[in-house]
Amino acid sequence: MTRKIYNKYNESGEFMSNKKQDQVTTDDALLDMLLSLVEEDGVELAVTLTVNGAVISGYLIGASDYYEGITESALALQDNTLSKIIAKKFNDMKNAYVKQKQNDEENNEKTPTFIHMKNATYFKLDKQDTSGNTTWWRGRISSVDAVSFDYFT
Amino acid sequence: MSSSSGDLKWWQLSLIGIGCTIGTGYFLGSSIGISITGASIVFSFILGAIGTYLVYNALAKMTAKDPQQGSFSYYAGVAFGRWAEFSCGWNYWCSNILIMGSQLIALSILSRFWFPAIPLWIFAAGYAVLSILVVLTGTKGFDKLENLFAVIKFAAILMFIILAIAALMGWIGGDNDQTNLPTTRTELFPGGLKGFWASLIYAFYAYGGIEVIGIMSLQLQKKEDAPKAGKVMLIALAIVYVLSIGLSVTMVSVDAFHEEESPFVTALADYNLDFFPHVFNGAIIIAGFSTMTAALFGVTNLLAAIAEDGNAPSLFAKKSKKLKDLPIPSLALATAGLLASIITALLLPGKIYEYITTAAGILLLYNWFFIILSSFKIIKDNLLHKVFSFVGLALILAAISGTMFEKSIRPGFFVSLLFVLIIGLVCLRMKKVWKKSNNDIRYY
Repeated sequence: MTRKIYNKYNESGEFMSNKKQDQVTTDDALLDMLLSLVEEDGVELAVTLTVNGAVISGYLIGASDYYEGITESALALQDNTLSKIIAKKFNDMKNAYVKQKQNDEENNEKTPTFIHMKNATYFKLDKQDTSGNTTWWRGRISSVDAVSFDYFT
Repeated sequence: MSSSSGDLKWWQLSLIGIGCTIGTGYFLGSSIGISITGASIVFSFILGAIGTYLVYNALAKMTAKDPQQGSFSYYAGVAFGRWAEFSCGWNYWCSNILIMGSQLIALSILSRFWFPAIPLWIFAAGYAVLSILVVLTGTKGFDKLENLFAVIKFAAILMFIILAIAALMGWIGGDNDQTNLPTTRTELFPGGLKGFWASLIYAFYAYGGIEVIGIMSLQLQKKEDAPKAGKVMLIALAIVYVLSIGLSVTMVSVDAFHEEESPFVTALADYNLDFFPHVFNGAIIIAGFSTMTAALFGVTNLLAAIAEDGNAPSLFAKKSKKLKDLPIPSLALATAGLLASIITALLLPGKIYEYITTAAGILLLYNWFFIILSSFKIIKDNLLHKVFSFVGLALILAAISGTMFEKSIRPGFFVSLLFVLIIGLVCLRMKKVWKKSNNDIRYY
């Protein structure tokens, strides 16, 4: 009956809410396994997800690859100053991610919230011709409704 | 303690409360109060009862609104943030360990009444081991023993009241047939306002233990009965205290009282009742032992609860399946604390231990102060509650500040500040750790 109340307080130490926040972001064992493969073992995996009605195809990647990817993309932007600022911010986020992950591992609390893909293509079911490409995609794990191992382009 | 709907009736809670509260604070501590302020100690006890009731009422109202196992430290957290939860929990733990240590020494001093040749530490160690054994038998055995002890304590006080009335009526022959009913202001307040002020802490000390009842009110059948149970309990306690202490200060002059003897034994000393000191001494030992064991049991579970909330190393939350879910590491730490306080008492020159005991009482009052402060934030929109709470805060502040006026207890106030300082420093250090782990932002 160990209660986890570490998020009972906000950052400034004030009491937030009575209920503990649900730490489990997905109850889908398969999705959980896939996430662990990409996050822990660095595997890249082609999948198609249904996310709130939208279909998204791409390569499932870990958060580390994602942060590195967006940092590089930012540097490739035209405006030099802005791209450097954004790349710096992205890099800061990567460092914060590494820190948080280490901290979570020490406390045995591996609870990823987000899912990351690269070379993602998304489709809308109602309008077949509306589709778009994005190199880096990030979504909420809890929003994923379905997974398949197809890859559409 | 975990069940949210219990089977206790309100009068049972009142009785348990009376049983848990009457201890060495009343039987022995009151004589220090009498030596400071004389007969007016009776008024101190009445003020103490009012203050204690206001604290209990605030706690019971918060419990009724949002029943929580963490009790006062949880509410402090809701009202003021994590530092308050952390400090209240540890402050309470420290004060209880110190109080237990002082009770242990008191028990040993009293036991030497019969065996003056045996050194103090043998008694202290013996009672400590016995108390740990009682806790190890688990909740069931503990409840049964406590009920028996409560009856014995109450019977002893009743016996004193009856004997005292008989003595005053002249039914028992004695060398002293003169009563000392104070009539003038100087007779009533020999220590003046300062003495009276300083005596408040000892009156409050005799009511210590009310928080336990606040936690136990979770087990009431009807939670809304909690204030009633407290009212009845405190009125009963106040009547018993005022009557017994009032009688003893009427019977002998104030100069006769000293802190190594119960005022009740002193009062009847001149009446040729040879059996009385023996019987009463036994009753005080039982009273002290039962409150000490209750405190040990409470402190053991308290630390486990603190650890469960992440305010102590998680080791202390571990419960032994073999020993009826008793948190053994927590009991071990309490035992270590107890040992430390006994060794301090035996090694350090006399007075220092007394200062630590006074400090323990003051630490307890800091906690009560916080209970009322928390209720200000949690129970809103109630003018009457606010007025009562201000009265309660004023009484507690008076009791704490009173310790500064009496030379003999002033160092106790500084020792209590030292404990607060240590907890505060640890709190500052912990703030960094909390910041790290309390981050709700997710990076992956």
